[in-house]
Amino acid sequence: MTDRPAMSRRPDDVVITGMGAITPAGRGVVATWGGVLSGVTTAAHDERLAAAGAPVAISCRAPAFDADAELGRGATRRLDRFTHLALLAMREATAQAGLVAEDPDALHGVDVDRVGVVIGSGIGGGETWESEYARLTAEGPARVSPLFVPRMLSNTAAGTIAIRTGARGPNLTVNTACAAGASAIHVARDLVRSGTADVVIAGGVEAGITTIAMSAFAQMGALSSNPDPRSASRPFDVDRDGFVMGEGAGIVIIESRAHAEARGAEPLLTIAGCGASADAFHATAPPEDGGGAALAMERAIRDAGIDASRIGHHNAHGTSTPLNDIAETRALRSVFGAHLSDVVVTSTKGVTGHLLGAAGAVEAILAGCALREGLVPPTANLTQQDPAIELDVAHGEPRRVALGAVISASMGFGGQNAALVLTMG
Amino acid sequence: MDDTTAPPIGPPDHDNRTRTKDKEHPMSEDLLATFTELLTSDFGVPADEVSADATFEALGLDSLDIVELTLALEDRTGVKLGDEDLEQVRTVQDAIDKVKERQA
Repeated sequence: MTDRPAMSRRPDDVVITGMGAITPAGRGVVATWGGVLSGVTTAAHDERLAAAGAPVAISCRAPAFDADAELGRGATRRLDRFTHLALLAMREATAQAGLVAEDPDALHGVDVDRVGVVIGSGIGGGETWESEYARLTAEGPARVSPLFVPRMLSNTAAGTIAIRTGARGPNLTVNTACAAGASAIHVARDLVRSGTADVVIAGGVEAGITTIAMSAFAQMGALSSNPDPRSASRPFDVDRDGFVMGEGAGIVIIESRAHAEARGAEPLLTIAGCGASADAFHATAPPEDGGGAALAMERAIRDAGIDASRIGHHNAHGTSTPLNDIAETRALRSVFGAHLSDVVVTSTKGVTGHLLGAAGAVEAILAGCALREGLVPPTANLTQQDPAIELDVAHGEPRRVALGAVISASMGFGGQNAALVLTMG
Repeated sequence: MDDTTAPPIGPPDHDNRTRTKDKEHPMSEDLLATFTELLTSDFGVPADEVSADATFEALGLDSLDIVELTLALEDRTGVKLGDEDLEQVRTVQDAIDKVKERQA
């Protein structure tokens, strides 16, 4: 597509110059994108959950890694898994952005005092909570590890990224539950746009596949109780019955186009618009009309200064819960109106499961890959689309579509919504 | 909140713990071996870096790690070093001396 005036490139555009991911679909953005394009779910029987007696023993785990070998001596003991995932994704993103040299962590070629970090996480160190609480109940308070606090705190991922990279700009942790990864990118964009930071390392992370979380999500009726992992995560399908818990991280490097060009970095994508809203409705359920999600999407599109008809692809929140997928459909109808039939929708959660606080960042990256390649991944396990989901959902095979702009939306418990509009870099 | 649903919190009573620990108290000649084993297995310190006069700082342990080390040490020796003991501990030998004081 040709650029229109509203999509012309400006020096003060906020762009993405590096991306990193570790997800159930693969280690790295390329592997994750390939996994998502395959349309094959990563949900599998989870031995650890089964052994712990969890009511649902199906999950989407990230590929295995040796934290001590990759992240240094003591990484396993001193850092929770969610921080490991954030660091691995961060390294990929900073490397692609040309921000590191020999040392995989220390930033190079930028003013570290003007590099910020904004990381979203819904849960923080969930495994640490679970293991140390077990130790408290079994062995008493004198046996609780002093590392419980720094391991568990949800701001440890952002703090550790600063410790590793040397970034001394604003360092924030954003929690909007399952919208946290997208909210973090929104906040980071604003830090760059306001001139508060030159570069921001931003994204989302989650490692919440714990027995207590699985128990509670199952009690809420939010998890799929489908005994067959291969068909459990099935967004927009008439037989969907809940989400499958996943884990992972997505991190992007955000800076102004002028800053990127001055240091010779290639803008991969432009963060054209960001929108945020609250449902002001219920702790966990969306309003039936998806009104809060619609507000976030409308605001992101208005912020981008483009007409909704420019958007050809929506990376859906699409959790595979009965309530979410209907409310999101209604939100999309409200936002796009007659143009909705021109929007090719997908939910990558069919492949990855629900990455909670990482979802918004990983899905923004995947929406960006779709934009760059003109290819919309299929929604896994969509065999019979719910007749109430009146959307053009890609399924079966990747769909080739010429795209000018894409949108990704995320809805968190608490009724917190975030949407991002991306255009080419 | 209905406090009857709160899970039981284990008693601080050290005689009533579920974990296992060695019955025997290793004496001085064994303590360096115990520290060496803990530092290598639990803290990933290369064995050839551990010596009696090595400081914990040089071995890469900070104050939080040293508290973790005392928990592991308690499992092995039954001796719990407190905050006042740790204030004076800089080297592995300092810690061995404190354990011996407590065992005496």
